[in-house]
Parts: sequence; C-alpha cells; structure tokens
Amino acid sequence: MVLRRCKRLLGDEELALDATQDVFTQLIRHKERLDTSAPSSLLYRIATRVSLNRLRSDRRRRTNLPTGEDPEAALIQTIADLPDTSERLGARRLLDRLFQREPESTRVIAVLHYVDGLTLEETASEVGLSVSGVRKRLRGLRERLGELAPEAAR
Amino acid sequence: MSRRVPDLLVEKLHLGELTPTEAARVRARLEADGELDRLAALETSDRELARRLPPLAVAIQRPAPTGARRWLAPALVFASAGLLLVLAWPLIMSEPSPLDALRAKGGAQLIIHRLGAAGPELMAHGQAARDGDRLQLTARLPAPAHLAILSVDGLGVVTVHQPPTDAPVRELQVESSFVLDAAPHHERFFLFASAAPMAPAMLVEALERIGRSREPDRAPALPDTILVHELRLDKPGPK
Repeated sequence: MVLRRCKRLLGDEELALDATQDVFTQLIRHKERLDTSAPSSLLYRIATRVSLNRLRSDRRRRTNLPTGEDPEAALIQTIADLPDTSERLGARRLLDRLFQREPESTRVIAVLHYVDGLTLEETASEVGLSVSGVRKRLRGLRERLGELAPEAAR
Repeated sequence: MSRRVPDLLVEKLHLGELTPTEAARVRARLEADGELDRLAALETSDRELARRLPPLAVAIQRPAPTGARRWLAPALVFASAGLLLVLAWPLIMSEPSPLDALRAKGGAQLIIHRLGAAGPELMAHGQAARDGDRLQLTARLPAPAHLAILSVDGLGVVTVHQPPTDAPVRELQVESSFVLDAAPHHERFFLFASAAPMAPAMLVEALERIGRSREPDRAPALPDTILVHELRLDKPGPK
C-alpha cells in the first residue's frame, strides 16, 4: 500500500521505493506507538507527506519538472510546493505529532480531498478533524488550487 | 455520477480494516461502478511485491509481530519494495565469529563509490559530495558477522541502507544505489557489525541521538559488542 501510494504521487517507481524506505525507517522506531485500530490511515498519511516532501525538494533541485502534461501531477506538485508551517518541523517532531493524532498538515488534507477524491467527511475522519475544520484549512488553498483544479476546488 | 471510490478506501477494504458496514458500502460502490477489479489488482500487486522482495519482509518483521501488532506484517510486506533498495542478502554465509575476531583482524571496511558517467569513484572519509550524487555502498568484514549500514544527514534524518542481516556475512553490496539529497553539512555513513543479531530500532535510535546532538562528530552510543565503522561525506554549502 505504501509503495503504491508513493508511486502514485511521485510517478516513478525508483523514487517511490526510496520514499517507502523513508516511511518505514520512521516506523521501525515508532512502531510501539502505532494506533493499531487504523494503521493504513497513518501509513497512508505518512507516505503522502514523505512523497510531498520529496516532490518539494526535487522542485528545488530541478525547476523544470514535466508536470505540465499531466493535470493530476501538476496539482500534486502545486500542493507539494504550498507553504506549510508544519514543514519546518523536523522528522522526529512531525512523527511525534502524527502519532499523537494531532491534526494533519494542510498539504496532506489537500491531497486527500483534491487528488484522492475523499469527501470532506471522509477527509475529516482520516485526519481527525471536524468537517468544518477541514473546510477551514482548505479555504486558504482554494484560490491557488483553483488555477489547476477548478472542479476539485469548488 | 458518483465520485470514484478513493484508493484509500479500496486499500482499507483490501486490508480488512473497514467495519462490516463500511466494507459493504465500499464494495457496493465498486460493484456499481464496475470497478471490483481494483480489489483484485491490489491482491495481484501484493503478490508481485512479495515475490520480488521476500527477504525484506522477513528481515523487517523481526521480532515476529504478535497480538495487536499483527497488522504490521502485511504492511511491511507491502512496503518491502521500498527497502529492497537497502537490502542485499549475504554473499558469503558461514559460521558466526566473535567480535573479537573482527577487531583482531582489523579492517572493517565501508566502501562508497560515487557513480558517474566516467565510472565509479571511490570516496574517502571527509570527501566532498553534493546533492544528487549517486552512491553505491559496500561492506567488507575480515570475518563473518551480522552487519547493517545506516546513515544520518546534517538534518538528523536517519536512513537505513541495509537492515541488520539475519545471518553473518563477510561482504555485502547494497543492491541499489543511493542518491544524496539536499540536506546540508554532511552525510555520516555507519557500518555496524556484531557477532549477534542487532535490533534495527537500536541502531536507528543511536543515530537519531547523534543527529540531535550539537556535537557533529559524536559517535553513536551502542553496546561494545557492536563494532562501528564510519565514513563521512561532507557537503560544502553554496559559495
């Protein structure tokens, strides 16, 4: 599941394998604290975040990524590039926060809703926020996302 | 027209993580959309990954998951593809050897080659490397032992290149190369060798501690039954 998730976001098997390695390196250390009731949700979110971070750092390195031909890839890249204060957290603090089930970053919420097609209710359930909380988080992103995904950003 | 069933819900159905009510609802949506084959595709994908990467699933599951953590097994099997990059199985298998023998014979080697158009370049301790460099890691021991290769970058992020081997080996090349990212300052690679099996979490935690340390050259704190060999690549900042 993790590999499939990373591959969908990164669009490249080798990059996805590398990202999956990152996800499980973190899990090796934190597995005792995993919420066993819904592990796939957590794994999915971590994989999403790791992949977004990869896309973002790759963008910094190579400014001409070929995302223009693929609307979904362009949307994912746009979300990856969005400023997110949680991005400044180190990997450890980030994982700590995730395992404590605190609200997920806006970028991950945006991917779940705009890219994966989860409804606001499903997204809220996945990330532990209210529907209004998810809506509020997404409000600030709509203008920019609307340029790429007017349907999704409605 | 209804929205396509999100991948996450299909994955959860596949993993048996939905309540009976949710599972029935998702299955009904898939059926209505004529997309039940997405479930079958996940099963096929899992089998294909397990076939390609069986050793890793075994390596990472140690100790065997039990009770509430049983879920970790399938999750790790699915993820094993990612760790194939850092896994290679023993090239030479033989009887375990005491760590003293390793020390007495000396010369545990962590060999790093930078792969480039002009061919592989052997990297020395302290040599400069940069974001995007592709590296090939090889470990060579004077006597068979359990070994692992990890690194920690200038941001304190730990990477497992080779999880601890289940069996003693004398030489091992990590199957896939590794691309340095943009983390600043350095990437410190560590070869760990031990006569006994090593817990991956212990090694990761040791490197995370030095990653958080303000002492850039601090050595990982580990039992003296583990032989540690380091090779650091420096990453000079932009001029």
